[in-house]
Amino acid sequence: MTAATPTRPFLAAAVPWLALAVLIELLLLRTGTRLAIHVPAGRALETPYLALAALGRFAFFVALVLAVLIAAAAVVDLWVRGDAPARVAAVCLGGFAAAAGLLLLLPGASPMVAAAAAIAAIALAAAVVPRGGLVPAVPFSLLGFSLIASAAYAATQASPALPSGAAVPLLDAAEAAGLAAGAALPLALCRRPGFAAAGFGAAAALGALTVFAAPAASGRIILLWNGGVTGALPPVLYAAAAAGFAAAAWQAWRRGERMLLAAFALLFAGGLGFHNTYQSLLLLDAAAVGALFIARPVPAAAPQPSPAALTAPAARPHGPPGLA
Amino acid sequence: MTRFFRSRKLLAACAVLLTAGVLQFTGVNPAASQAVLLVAYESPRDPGLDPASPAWDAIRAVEIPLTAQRGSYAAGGGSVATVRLKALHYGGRLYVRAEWTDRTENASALRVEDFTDAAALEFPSRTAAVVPSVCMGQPDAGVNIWYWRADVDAGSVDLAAAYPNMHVDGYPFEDDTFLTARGAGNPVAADNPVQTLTSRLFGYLTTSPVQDAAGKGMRTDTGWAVVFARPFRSPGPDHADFAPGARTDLAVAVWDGANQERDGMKSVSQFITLQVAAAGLPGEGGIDGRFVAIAAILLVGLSGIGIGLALYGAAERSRQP
Repeated sequence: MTAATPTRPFLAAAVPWLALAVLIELLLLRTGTRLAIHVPAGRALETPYLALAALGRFAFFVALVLAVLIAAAAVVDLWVRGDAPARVAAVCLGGFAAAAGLLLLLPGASPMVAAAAAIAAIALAAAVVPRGGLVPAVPFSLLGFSLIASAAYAATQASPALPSGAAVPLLDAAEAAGLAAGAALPLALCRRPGFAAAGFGAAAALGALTVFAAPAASGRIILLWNGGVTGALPPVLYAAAAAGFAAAAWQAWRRGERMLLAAFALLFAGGLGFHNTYQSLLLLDAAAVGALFIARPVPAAAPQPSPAALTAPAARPHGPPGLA
Repeated sequence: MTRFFRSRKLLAACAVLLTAGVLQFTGVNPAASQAVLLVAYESPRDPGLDPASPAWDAIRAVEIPLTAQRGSYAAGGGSVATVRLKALHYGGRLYVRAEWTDRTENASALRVEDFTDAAALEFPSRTAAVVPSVCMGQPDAGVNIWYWRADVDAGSVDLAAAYPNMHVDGYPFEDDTFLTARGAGNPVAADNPVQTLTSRLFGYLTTSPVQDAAGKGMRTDTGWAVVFARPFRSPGPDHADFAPGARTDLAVAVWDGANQERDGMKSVSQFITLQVAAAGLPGEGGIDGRFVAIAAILLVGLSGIGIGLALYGAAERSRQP
């Protein structure tokens, strides 16, 4: 189903390593160092803390280099695939990379980069359709809508030409669409989640509800900082998103779909909203993996008669020759 | 062939690790922040500490979402949804104007059951090697906080107004020997409504020995507007420094006294980016506005194209045997 392209072996090898590097970075740099500061140990733990931060920062740079290489490979792969949605997605992904580079020189270009990311996400969601069908594209489309709302918020903050009163509704819309993408993630696997996946998802939902019900849990502010999740919406929505993520990850793991499992890890680490071009690139890499590796299973076809059989005399007896 | 492929994989892995190591060692980060950008343009005139100064009319506010602090005890807040920020610089001083909605004025904390409205700005200290934890910094990256209180800004309050049935024989002393809080250097008893604080760790917030941030608040129709100001350079240890053309991070916290908010019970933002521009104010309808309006139109248009492509893809798929 997936045509061989020059970059496909690289993608197949690199994407799981990117997911691993991202998870290490998320665990050590974004979570570990931010939780460790709450340990009342003063200077006694300063050296281990700094070592933890340095290791996490190295994982960040490894992930960053891999994310850029994978985006470049995905652009080539999508272009070589040849259908119109894939080629448009390749151009849009390349456009985001160019805009992200421009942001280093022009910090005021942030709304443009946000718009480029949203456009690329929508185009990549559309590129899922030719191979996977409409249903697996749903979570990626919802991710695209979330990025559109975030980009609109970024634009309203930068331009006098746009209405300024829409900030809160746009941020809420971005968060709601992002959570819906998480909840809909099992759809990307083209099959219904099994009993074990549903149970795993239910456990994750319970965990999320616990985090949001706790009056003074560090988990909530870590979610805000790491993932841009503000917690402004009803807790049941966050529970649904956690359930979707967990069920999809379980199912992908059990079925050996390591590329999709890696893509889910990238979505989880990328978070909601626009933090920096690294996290935006993780989201787009995940969508690109979806566009390239999701393929609807082909139903087993009935055996076709050979041309010889079609031209054989009608009186020829049926069945294996030995039984004639 | 297999050995060759394996060695190529090994080389590629080494190249990735080496590149990452070089980036870390040199401190070059190719990833750029996409947080909301607050630009402090150079003002043609001194905005002063008056939040109603006409100098602020020329620039547009950036609206920052706030959320309830849930990271540590005492947790709470969340009663203020957003804060609108503007920034300017003039004569080597940075001015930041914060405005938020708060229907109730709480400018006295004289009674034990009263809590004052307040606001704070947080910057990474000049020695911060990385973006610090928004929760009071971290060992390798401290924070510098400017904390404005409405009660201090309102000045001394007549005790009889708070306790109308009180009786006082007389208290003629006005020097610091008898005004013990002021004599001990309690910043709440000082005349400056903005305290300069520093921290390098959660639980380590302390008053800076150098108090050089100033500010003034005023009631608006819907809430508060407060101007914070400080020279770009500060001699204080762990203070933030600013310079035209430089960027730093900025977070905001707001306390609503009517909601009994104090300490950790507050509405907080994430870090946004503060750019101290080397240029003056752009003209009205300048290139930024047109630039972003075109981006918005492109966004809507290309999203439509994306949906169209999805439908095209679905139609193509349905035509496949």
